[in-house]
Amino acid sequence: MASACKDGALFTRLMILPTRLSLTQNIDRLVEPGAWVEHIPFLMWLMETQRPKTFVELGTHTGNSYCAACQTVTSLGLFTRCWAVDTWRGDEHAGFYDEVIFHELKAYHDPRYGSFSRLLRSTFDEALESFADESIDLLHIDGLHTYEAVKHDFESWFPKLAQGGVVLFHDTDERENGFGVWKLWSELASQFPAFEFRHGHGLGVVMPKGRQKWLAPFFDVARTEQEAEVQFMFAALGRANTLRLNCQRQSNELDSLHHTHSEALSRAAAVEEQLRSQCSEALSRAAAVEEQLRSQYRETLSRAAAVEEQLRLHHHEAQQRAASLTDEIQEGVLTAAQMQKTLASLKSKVLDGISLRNVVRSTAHYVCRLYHANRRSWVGKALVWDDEWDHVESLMKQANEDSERGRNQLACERFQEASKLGLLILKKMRGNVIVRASLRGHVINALQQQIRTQSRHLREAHQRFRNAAKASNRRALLTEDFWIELDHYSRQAGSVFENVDSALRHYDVKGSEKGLDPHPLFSTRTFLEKNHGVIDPEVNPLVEYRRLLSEGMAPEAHECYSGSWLRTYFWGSLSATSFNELPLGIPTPPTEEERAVAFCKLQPICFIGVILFHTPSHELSKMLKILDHAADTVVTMGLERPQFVFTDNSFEWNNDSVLACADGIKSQIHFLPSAKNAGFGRGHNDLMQQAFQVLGATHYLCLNPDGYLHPAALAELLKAAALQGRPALVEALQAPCEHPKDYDAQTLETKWSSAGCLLIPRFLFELTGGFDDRFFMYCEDVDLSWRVWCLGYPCVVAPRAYFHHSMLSRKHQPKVDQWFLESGRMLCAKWGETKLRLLCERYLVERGYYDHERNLPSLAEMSVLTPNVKVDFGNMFTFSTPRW
Amino acid sequence: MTDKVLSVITRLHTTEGHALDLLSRTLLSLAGATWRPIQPVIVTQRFSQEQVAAVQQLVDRFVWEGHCQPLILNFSHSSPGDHRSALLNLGIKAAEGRYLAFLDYDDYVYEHAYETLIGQLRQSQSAIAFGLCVAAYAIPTVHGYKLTHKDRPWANQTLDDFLVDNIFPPSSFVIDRARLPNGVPLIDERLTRLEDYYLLLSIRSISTFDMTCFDKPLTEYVIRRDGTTTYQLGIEFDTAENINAWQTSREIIKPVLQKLQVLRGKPHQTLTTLPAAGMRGTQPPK
Repeated sequence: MASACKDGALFTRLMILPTRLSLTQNIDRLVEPGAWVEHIPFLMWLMETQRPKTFVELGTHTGNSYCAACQTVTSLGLFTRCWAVDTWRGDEHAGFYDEVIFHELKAYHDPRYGSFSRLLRSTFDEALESFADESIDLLHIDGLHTYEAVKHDFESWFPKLAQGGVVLFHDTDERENGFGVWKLWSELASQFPAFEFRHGHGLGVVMPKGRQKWLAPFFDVARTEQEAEVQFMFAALGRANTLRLNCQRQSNELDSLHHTHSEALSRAAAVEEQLRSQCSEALSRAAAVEEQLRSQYRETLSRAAAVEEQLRLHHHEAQQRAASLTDEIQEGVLTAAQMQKTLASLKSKVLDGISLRNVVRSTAHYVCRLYHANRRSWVGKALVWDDEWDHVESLMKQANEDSERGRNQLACERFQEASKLGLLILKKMRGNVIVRASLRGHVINALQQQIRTQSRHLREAHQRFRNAAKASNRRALLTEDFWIELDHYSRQAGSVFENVDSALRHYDVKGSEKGLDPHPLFSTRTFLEKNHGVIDPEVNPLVEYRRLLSEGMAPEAHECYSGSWLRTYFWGSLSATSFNELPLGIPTPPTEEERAVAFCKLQPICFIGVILFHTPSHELSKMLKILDHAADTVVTMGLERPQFVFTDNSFEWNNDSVLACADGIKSQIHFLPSAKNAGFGRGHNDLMQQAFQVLGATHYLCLNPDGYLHPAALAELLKAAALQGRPALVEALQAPCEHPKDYDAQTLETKWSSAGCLLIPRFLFELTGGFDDRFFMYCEDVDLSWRVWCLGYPCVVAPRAYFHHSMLSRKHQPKVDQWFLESGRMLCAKWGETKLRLLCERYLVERGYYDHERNLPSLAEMSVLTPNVKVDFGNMFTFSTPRW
Repeated sequence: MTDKVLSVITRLHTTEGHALDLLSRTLLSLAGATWRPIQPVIVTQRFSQEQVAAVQQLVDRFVWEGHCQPLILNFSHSSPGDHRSALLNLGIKAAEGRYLAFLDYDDYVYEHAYETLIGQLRQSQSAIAFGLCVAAYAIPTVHGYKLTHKDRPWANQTLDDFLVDNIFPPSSFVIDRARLPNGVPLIDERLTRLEDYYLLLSIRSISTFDMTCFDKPLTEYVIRRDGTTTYQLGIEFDTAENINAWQTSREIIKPVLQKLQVLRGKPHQTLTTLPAAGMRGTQPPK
């Protein structure tokens, strides 16, 4: 208990006094490193208790202890002068650092404590002279912590310590890494009154120049049971600073993290903004690119379509050229045949001319050789014929001279005379039979020789013809380069060909015989093997292949591909195209101004002609309105209002009844009564006659009653007519299902014009007399079109003029079918077509319209025309290459 | 809903270029159709007054005797975006006919198309009948477009094909609304793609399809080779917007499609060959 009382007094002393500051005061500056912060409560207690006049700290670093001391001075209003001595460059224990530490401390220290405190930047030894001996009341040594250094510091600064002054040593409890304070401390503690705090790396408190009573309790409890409690108390107080520093550190870290986070957020926002901007820009660019691609896509499609049409045109031209060359080849064949005939004739006339002369000369010489042979056997026996023979020799001499000078006729005569005389002499010499037999043998030999010569000439001529034919074939092939694939053939032949022509020539002369393939998809050997018997082995295989294709066959020509497939490749896709002379590229369309100029030049007065046939009144009424709308469009173009001219082949309508249906119709209506139903052509001829010659029309629109005329159709027809610049038949496009016959996309020309909705100019009516009224119905429009064509005027389509014409929904009507076949038959008869005519006749009988072909209507009146244009019967009743 | 009337809905997106010329040909095919009466319903999206007037002027040039006077409906919703489904619904709601058909402004029907299909509907119990659509290919020329050839890419397609992708061009069918509950056919207006497919799937989930006339060519679908055909314009780039639009539309359609696939005993199939945008949703097979 006594001890407790004693202890209680001590604690009162220790605890009450320090609580004034050290327990309540917040430490203004707690910075890293925090090794010292746990001793700040004691330092404050010490400062408050000791109230030193001079406080010197050796080794301040970031200033935790020094600033705490300064804060104590300020807080308590002490008259203490404070000095911090340090180089602020660090040492091997504290670590070396840059100027930032000093400047940061100075920036903190000077405004707050500059009035009583100085930061002395020097070594400890250098600073010694700044202090008078025994002038320092409180000295804190915290420099380099080696034993030698701290001992030196203590010893060198010892004289400066005032009597009763206190010296503090930090890191007395550190024994690692060369720390040696503990060693000095153990020496001093044994010599002087001392107390050591073990927390916070150890703090030694020593009074080497005399013990003062205010610090005595510490020294008293040292190494006693109460020391632990003292240690614990200050350690606890100091620990609070460590915790505060940690908290501050974490707060700083948190702030730093906040700052980092904030910066990251800012950067992210900036990046986001940048990305948004980039994204927006990219989207804009993508949209632009998309638009560009769309535009390019459309343009490409247009170009592709144009190129396709160009290819069609090229192919068509190529076909024409090929056809032309085929004609040439044909001509060559005919020439060859002629040559063969000539050669045959030569055979028969082999003895003519020079040949005859040669034979006669040979004969004469033979006679001479016979005479001299016989003469040699009779030498010395008889010379009785020698004089006569001299004459023969003389004749021979003269004949040879004539022969050399080209006087063949005279030479022949002299040779013959010489032969005759010579023979007479020989007969006298050897007898008639022997001489004649010998002579016949010679003549035969001579003739054979001549025939062999002429045969050789014939073969040479034949060879020349073949060469010429081959050349022609090559030219034919050259019209379509794709028959030979240059690189492929060059590889096959082992040599490089500069162009298709040279390759073809090589193939023609050598390649085909060697079995080389001119194209990867054409095997020469396969073609020759598979088509043996149907091709001419003497002719270039490609030419033969092409010929077979043109004849509609699909010959085998490759080991891996079928003939039909190859046909499609080489021929089908192109042969399917129509004549279709489309422009090269898309030409500039006529401007509206050009159209207007052309239109004004026309100044048309147009009549719409319709033949009624069992037309109900509501249909007529509607038709009139439709036509009136079409006439409205023409009027809006500044042209005279079209008028209507009707007739009725069913005799149900008259002028008044038609007019009764025309309520509100602005166009003038004319009705021409029909005497009899003489058919479509006759009806329209009558209406045209009326319109052109009575009513002053310039154009007549021949219109079927069962259609619907587009409101702009008539205006478009008139425009198309004007743009032609010459009289033309102009037809509207049939809608909704267009007629399959083709037309030229640029010139709009077509092979014939349908009369369903056909604009006919007066000129052409007067030139042709209109429709041939022998056609009751159907094909009269084809006939008129061809006659117009033969006269040099075109049939054209107005592609923006639509005429809705019900064709697909028509039900089969035998009478209509019969008219159709009869008209077709008549057309064939008129234009010299047999095959289709016979087909029509067969159908007319097979379908029961006639019981026998002999009962068909007579075609005797139908004089056959010889067209100067190529009318088309090859596509049946389309009379033109169909588009589909 | 008027018993004999066939309402034909035509969407028109522009009056520029050849649009009005093409529309006039479409109108001609309606005016000349053998089925009467037809009520043309032209729906436009945010047209100006001048544009609407131009369309009206064109319509008035035709004689609609025997038919109904055409309706021109301008969708003037102020919010931006693609309202193609709403546009169709606008036309469907305004249509007075018992029978309903769709026709793009640049397509046309043969004169007997509607007579044939409605005749077939009257003979069957189905709410929709289909005819064959012919593809007609046109090239640009100085004088407009020229048809060069035709083919039949949709021939021989079956209902199984339909459950994978739309095989019916919009002009190829007629709907009998009297055989459908109220509100059908209306289109989910969130759809900015596949709206016509949705419409057909909706009908299919209620009614059988009458494909008796599917082998008969009744309409023509013009494909202009210069890329101005709607479906070609609808060839879309993989922009995020387009991908999203397709994805959204697929998601909307998916349950209906899957239900039908299950009913038909077909495994689920996703839309693999995605059609292009709009009523030009069905491209001819390559």
